[in-house]
Amino acid sequence: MKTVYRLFLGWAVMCLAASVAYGGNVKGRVLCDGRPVAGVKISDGYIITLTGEDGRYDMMSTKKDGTVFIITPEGYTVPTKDGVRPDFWQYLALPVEQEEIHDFVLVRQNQDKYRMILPADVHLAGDARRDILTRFKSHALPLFKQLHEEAPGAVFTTDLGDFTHDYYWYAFDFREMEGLQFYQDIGFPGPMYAVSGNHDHDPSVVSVPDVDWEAGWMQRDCWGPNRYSADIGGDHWIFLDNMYYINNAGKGKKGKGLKGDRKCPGRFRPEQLDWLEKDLALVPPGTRLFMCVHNPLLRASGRSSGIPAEQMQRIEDLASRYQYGVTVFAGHLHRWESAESEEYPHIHSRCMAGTSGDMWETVKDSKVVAGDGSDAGLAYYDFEKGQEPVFHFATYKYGERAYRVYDMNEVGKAYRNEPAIRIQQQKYPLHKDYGDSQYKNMVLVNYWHQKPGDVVELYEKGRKLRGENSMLEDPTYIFAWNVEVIKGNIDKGAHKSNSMPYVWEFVTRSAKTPITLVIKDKDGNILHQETFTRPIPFDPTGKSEPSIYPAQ
Amino acid sequence: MIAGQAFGGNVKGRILADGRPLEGVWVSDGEVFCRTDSRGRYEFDSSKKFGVVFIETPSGYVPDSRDGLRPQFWQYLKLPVNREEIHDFKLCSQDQSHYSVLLPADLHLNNDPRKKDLQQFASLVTPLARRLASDASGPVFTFHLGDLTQDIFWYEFGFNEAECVRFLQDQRWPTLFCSVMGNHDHDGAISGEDVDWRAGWMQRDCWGPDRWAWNIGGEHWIFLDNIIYKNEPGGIPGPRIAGSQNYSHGLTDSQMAWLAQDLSHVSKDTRVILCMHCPVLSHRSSGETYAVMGHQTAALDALAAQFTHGFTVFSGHLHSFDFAAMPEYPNIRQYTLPATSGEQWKAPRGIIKAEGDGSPAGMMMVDFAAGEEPAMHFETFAGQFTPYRVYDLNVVGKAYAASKEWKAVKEGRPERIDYSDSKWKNCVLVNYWYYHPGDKVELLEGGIPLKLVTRLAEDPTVVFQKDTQYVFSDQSYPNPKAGYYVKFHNIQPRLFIRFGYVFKTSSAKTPLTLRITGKDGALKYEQAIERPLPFNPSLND
Repeated sequence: MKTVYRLFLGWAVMCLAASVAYGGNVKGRVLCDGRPVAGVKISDGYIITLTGEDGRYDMMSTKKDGTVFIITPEGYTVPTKDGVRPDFWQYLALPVEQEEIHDFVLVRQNQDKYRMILPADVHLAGDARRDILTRFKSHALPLFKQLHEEAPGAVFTTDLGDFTHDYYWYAFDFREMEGLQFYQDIGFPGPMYAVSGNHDHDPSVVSVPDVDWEAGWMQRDCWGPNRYSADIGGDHWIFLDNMYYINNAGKGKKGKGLKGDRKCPGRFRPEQLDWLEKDLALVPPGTRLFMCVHNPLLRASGRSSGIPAEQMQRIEDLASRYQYGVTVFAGHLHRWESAESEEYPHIHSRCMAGTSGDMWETVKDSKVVAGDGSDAGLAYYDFEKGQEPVFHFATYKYGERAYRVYDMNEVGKAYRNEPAIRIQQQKYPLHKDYGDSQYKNMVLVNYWHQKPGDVVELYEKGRKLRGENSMLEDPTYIFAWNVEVIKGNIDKGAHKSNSMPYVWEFVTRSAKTPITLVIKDKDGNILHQETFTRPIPFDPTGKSEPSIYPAQ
Repeated sequence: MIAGQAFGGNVKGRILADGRPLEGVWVSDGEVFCRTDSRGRYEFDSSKKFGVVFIETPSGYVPDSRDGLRPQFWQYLKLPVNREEIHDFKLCSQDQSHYSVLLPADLHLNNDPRKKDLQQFASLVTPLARRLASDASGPVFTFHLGDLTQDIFWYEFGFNEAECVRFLQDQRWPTLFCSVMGNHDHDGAISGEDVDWRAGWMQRDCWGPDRWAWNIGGEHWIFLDNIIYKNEPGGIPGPRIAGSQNYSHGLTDSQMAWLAQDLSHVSKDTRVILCMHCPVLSHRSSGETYAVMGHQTAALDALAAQFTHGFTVFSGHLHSFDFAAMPEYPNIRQYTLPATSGEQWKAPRGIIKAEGDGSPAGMMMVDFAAGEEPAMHFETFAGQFTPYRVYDLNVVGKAYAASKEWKAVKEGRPERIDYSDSKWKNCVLVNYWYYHPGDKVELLEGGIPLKLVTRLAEDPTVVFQKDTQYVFSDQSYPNPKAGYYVKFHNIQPRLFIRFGYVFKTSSAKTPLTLRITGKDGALKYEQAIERPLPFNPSLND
């Protein structure tokens, strides 16, 4: 370690409420290849202590949260408990006045390059109607395995919450535990970390002093504490639960096992941010920080998503110590949203669309699309020391895909020929009727991977067209959802309106001229460039689009 | 009310072996058993009364280990009974067609600065274990038979069961290590209601449940806590010690029920081996055998009767060899092993220490091979193992007469046997600690068997390694100023050995022949003895 970091670390350790003398009630040792590892961070969620030269730690814990966990150091990983879950935490089982031993094992790992796969909103449920488990096995699992096989280095997965769906826990006998067992049975390639989503709580828990804590019991039993971190390849990864389950008793939708309204605002428990402060006290300022939560901290507008302002400010203050701030990966919205904020300039929000698309509701023989019309798949980042992380998104069927281009002449035909659209327009007049002539010769670009500062340009015969980020609705999603709801194929309510933040509209001069899409980042670098001949077919089901994977 | 609806079982999990699900593995919570299915999954409803779930590792496998010392065959049950929890286990396949087991007992590690027991362990026991493990032809396991530490010293020297685990980890003990509960492994600071369970908390936290089993090779190994700790008022005072650390021997009804259920899964031609601290059968110093565990002995014998080989029981506790069998309990073969600490590390440094019965200190190793009888061999820290020792009491008597320390012992404990007394003239003592049931010990003079004078005897080596060493020592008394609250060594009123044979010879110098035969009459040992026979209590021959 560099001298500066050693001094920093020493100062930080002195600030910690750590007990290292004999008399601690939680103690143990960290070994790698049978040899002790010094300087490893261990925490109970309140205290963070370090192993000594003999690999031993010793802390006086309140045992309040009932767990002890290791903050995996850079260059190491932990074995898995079961091929899926990293073995980084253990229950504290004995009363506070009794000491207990908890040892940890590390395995050396080359992390000069590594990959982090970021599924979100997988929404597993034992629902025969949607046939979720079959579709997961046919769509998502092969892609997970492929991303592992092709990775340039170590591979990790972090599930960004809503792994299951509380609404269906008792209706289909499929809860967090069954979700875990499903992953075990199908040979899901671990290790996978997981943060809690709103839907990962037990909906039968109501009317107790701390509903949020009690209702999270199974998620924590499966996946671990509600706050922890890991150092991977020089980066510091933080995993937090920012869904505060209230579940007001007797209210909300009725269903088997549902005792409340499952209300769950985005909010951190205070002890999480207290712990975060201690955690970051041990992380040097030059480190890249990545935070994994379920609820994004920012919306595309740049405003807070509803996390209390004092919590946002606290995170901003902590992140401001770091050269790169903190990049926050989240799910929850079932759509892509990247956001920056002038108010919180050190928080960079990256929201992933649902791995389930929109909870696997799209009809079975159609492609899986997310709530913003994007093709469902898996987001992942490739990391290399000293380099900017590289973002990728692999769809289940079509490889990497960041946008979709719509020839509104073809979309309009589909709208005019679809009776369900007529019904939609009558019932939900706020929707855009793309069958109307006002959309003639228009081209829509849904660039769901848009980041702040990105620019979308469209050229017709070399002439740059005037474009507007009009945030219109995505036609694929309208057909995937509202049309199927109206037809009775989806047992849910239709959306009364839709507005996609990353939809751009352009008006061309004719129906048949080729167009060239150019997408640039804020520095003017070309991110994507593609030329289209028109007409561009519109097939919201995806049936005419062959998968690039022959097996599908 | 918090509702966590159980889905067919509140304890569930999966067992992987080499990363693949393993079917047919027994899992228990100490009351209920279930077995993994073809997906390696188990699920059962547990009362969670004992707060643990553990697997019965099947033959050909070994559990994972986090610290290289303790096998991870058990996990705590943490959540309330109305909530389910997942507990997965990992196994590795292992060739157990040949394997060995080290059976240390009564290590009594204390971190006592007077005895420097940890240093002695590091210089004697660890190297021996490493050599034995290295020379073995298959995997080696260590099953310690209880009294790993010593309750009364936990708080005085800051060395409890958890500290001992750390010490063994630092020693890089060469095998997986398991330890059953001994009476001294309890927390002496706990007394009152349910003290036996409560005081065992740390031993269980370190080593696992009070009942579990492991299939290794063709054997079914069972590990039980058969000490019922009472810690009633009185006894030797010590820092934070709440009672006298007294106890009785036995298994709880729950343990017996679990045992019966466990054995119902075991095929009848399997060799069943029990490891418990307290023996089931023992010899009195008169040579008579008796059932230590009272009425439970019959219950154990009845369980053992189901099995072709009955029960083999390994125990410690007595700090002596004591291999016992009783016709009333024909299905139990008891092997009590001496203290690996060589009488709690008290013997002066630099000598070959004796156990409580005078035998050379060390530990038993048993080699197992498929289809063969297990082979036991006792490995000493120094020198070859000898199954007996012969004492010329004329020579011993002179040593006693010349020792002012012995005189002091005798004054304090007048009931002790004084071999300087003339009644022992021309007598020869054979201390045959390695006695097996049915063995016969004869001493011949001129080819004629001598008459046995008595079975009541003390071993002079033990007397000179302990009592005479410490009778004048300040350390023999409580010394609060020095911080030592507990007596280093108590001189006992009686120190009988179990397998002493005193014979009267006709003169001081006639040569003798020692002959020991087995129960089938076959000659086991024969030695010609020239007299006078030197007496060397340091055992440095």
